[in-house]
Amino acid sequence: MKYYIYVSDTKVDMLYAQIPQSFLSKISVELKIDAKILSTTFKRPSSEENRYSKLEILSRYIQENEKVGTSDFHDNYIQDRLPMRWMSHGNLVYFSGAGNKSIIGLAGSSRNVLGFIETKYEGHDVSLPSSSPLDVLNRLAEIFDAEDKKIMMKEIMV
Amino acid sequence: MSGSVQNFEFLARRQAYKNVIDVYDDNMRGDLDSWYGKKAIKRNRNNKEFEPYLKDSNYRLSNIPKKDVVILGSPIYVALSD
Repeated sequence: MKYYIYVSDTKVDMLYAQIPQSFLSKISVELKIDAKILSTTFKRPSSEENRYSKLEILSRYIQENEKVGTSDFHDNYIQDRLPMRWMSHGNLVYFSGAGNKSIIGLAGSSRNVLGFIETKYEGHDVSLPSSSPLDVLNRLAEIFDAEDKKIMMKEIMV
Repeated sequence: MSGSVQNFEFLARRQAYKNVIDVYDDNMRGDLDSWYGKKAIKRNRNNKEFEPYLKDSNYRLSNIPKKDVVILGSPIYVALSD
């Protein structure tokens, strides 16, 4: 099982919609799912189950049909396992790490961090505390004074 | 934000990449600072292999290791990895 902490639904939806039916049919055989069920299931508004199933199928499709490299031998797509640090700044979440030959930075929206909760309060966007380590540490940093926060920011930057 | 290093697995679309040799060759460091954060560049500048070039503007680029690449990716997913 994968313990996801970041999923870009926008990218998953965009790319998943472009997967040929033939691939869906093929993978449905592998997964022993009726192809019609597979296609209709994912037309429904995304439930958590659909979200990760779609992601799994999309990952398989990319691995088999796109140019996928690693951090050190990069290509259009990069799939890898790396020790990384992560931080957020405003709506940006940033993962950074280094392979043997490269430095890699992954930048995305904080909204895609699992557990991120956003709502509106008196017309303003407000993010509510969540169990995401990213959010927890952000909240803790707010408790400290500005100088401590600066030090903390320096420490987390790669 | 998390200060500790964790093992992550990810799938990302490569958005941009730049050989570090180009960074110095093209005076693109300013752009890359904004892309990747100053520390990422500093990490390379602290690399001993780069010091001669940084100290001597006449140092030939061919003496700089060409292996280092800075990559910016757009993550599709990131998961914790053992």
